[in-house]
Amino acid sequence: MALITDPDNISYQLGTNPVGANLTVDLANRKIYLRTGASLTTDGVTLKCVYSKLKEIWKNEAACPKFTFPITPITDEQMEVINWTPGDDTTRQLFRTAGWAEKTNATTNREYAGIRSLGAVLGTEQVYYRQQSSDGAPTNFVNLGAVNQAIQTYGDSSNGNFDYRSYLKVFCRTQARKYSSANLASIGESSLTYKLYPMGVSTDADSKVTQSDVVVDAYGVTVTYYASPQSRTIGGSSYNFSVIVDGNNKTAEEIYMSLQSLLRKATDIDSGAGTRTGKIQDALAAFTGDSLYTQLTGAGGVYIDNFQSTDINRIFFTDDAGTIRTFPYTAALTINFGDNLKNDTDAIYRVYFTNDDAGSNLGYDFGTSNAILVNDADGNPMSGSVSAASSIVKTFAYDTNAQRGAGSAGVDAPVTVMAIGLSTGQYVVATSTIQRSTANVVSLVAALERNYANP
Amino acid sequence: MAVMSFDGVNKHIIVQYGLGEDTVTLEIMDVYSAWKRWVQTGDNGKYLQAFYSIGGEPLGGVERLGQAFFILNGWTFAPETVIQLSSLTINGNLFPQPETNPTLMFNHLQAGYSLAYNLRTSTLPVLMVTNGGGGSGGGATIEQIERSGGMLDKTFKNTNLIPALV
Repeated sequence: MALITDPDNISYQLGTNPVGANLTVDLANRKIYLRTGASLTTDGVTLKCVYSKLKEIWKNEAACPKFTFPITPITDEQMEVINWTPGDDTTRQLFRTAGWAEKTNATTNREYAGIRSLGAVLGTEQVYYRQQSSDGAPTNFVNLGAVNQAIQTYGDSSNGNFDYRSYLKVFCRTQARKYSSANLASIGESSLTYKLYPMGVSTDADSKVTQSDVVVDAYGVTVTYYASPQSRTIGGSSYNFSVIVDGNNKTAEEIYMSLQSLLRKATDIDSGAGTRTGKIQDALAAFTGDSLYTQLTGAGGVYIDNFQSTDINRIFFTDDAGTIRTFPYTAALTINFGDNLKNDTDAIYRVYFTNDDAGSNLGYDFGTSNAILVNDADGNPMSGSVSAASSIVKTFAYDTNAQRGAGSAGVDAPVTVMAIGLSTGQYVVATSTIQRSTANVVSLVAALERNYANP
Repeated sequence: MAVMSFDGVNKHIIVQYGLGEDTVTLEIMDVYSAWKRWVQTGDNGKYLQAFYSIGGEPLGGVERLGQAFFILNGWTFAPETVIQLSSLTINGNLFPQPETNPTLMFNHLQAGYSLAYNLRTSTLPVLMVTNGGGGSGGGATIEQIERSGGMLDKTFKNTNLIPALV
């Protein structure tokens, strides 16, 4: 049964025992009770509907008019219960689509904010909330799926003795679905009063999560929240990050899956000295296409240590200032070797710039004594032994490599790659171009050597 | 005793004659093998390729297809001798690539000195290429081959000695 909005769909009775009807009006104790049954399910009833039903009761029941009317509406979604109270929390949790205050004359005893989720949430998903910014366990909304429930935000000394009207964060996190959360800032509020608040909480299938929590928890990815900013160098400049993820040499997808799993833990996920309950922490990273963006959290920006070098071009880091930082583009050159080189224990290869035309243009071309051996992204020459490899992948600092002189960084690099073995591989040379890509490939297939002698 | 070295800048295969030495004979396979080892040394890979070779395929038993070596990219032999009339003999099938006068494979550095260069080639199976026509299978007839004397000149067939004086 759906949410009830028609007073005709709820039964009532006068009395003190809330059994046998959906709505019980306890005139003696000035309480009203709601109980499920018949048409009323846990989907609840709008407060407006309850108000309307009470009007009908006050009109039709002779015993009622001599008592003050229980509810004063301000709007359809904001009401005051004055000198009456809902009989218990079971009753309160069946009120829908409204917030209300419970008052004794002009004195507020309790306040409830109605929370309704906007967006698609699966009926099996658990939405939960946290009313304090400090660490601690969150509270589940009573029903699974889309939310339409009031939560107490204020209680005087006799009603909980707290004031949570300045903070609220709502979460929905389900394995293999994109996480969602909303807070007061996201709905343009700085504090809560007793009315209805729509909050944008929606989830969607997360194609980047392909493994179970059990699998990804074994990846060894950790997160540490620091009280003071940690400096990390990106592209020669230092930036501050207060949240550091140790990627444990996993792929971007594996790191992301690990973080998502951590963010659903009800336990402390901070590998540092602090305590951070996973399921109430801000999102740490999100994919846009195949690019992984770290997020600016309440604790600061997020950096990932020990990610796989091949992912360097698709991880974007948000620092403490909220600025996205990226490493200079690192291209990759895959050098494929034919069998005659692969099988030659003496085979070597070297990668030279074909020319320096894009830079100084001093004639430092391949074939001359000034030919330039290309450095990889770590500054090491692209050369070495084939060592029985079918292929070797070399990184290239596309945006910053200026070996060819000023002006050569950030432009395509023509390269000449040579290899030579002794006993099985003849000399072979091939040209290619290192573009702003990780898919640059050059193949070296040497003829079989039958004419080498080393007596 | 002569010493051989490689000069990548000038693309010279330098043959340094020993004291009083006026005759040097090199096996082209040794030259080729030495060049390969030189390329692997240090940064010599940056220089243009000097040789490639073909042949050597086993034909059964101890027989092998005849070997041929090609010198390319303008590399030349550069003998260094103090004797005014000396000779350098290269044993093996060595051809310039692209095709040119074989004497251009040699570069005598020292002015006023004369050197005799000898290429001693061995028998190689030679494929005769014609422009087609004539035979039923499209191959050349004996008469056609005989008429194509210029082509025969280029085959180095059974040539035992090709002397050149520079």
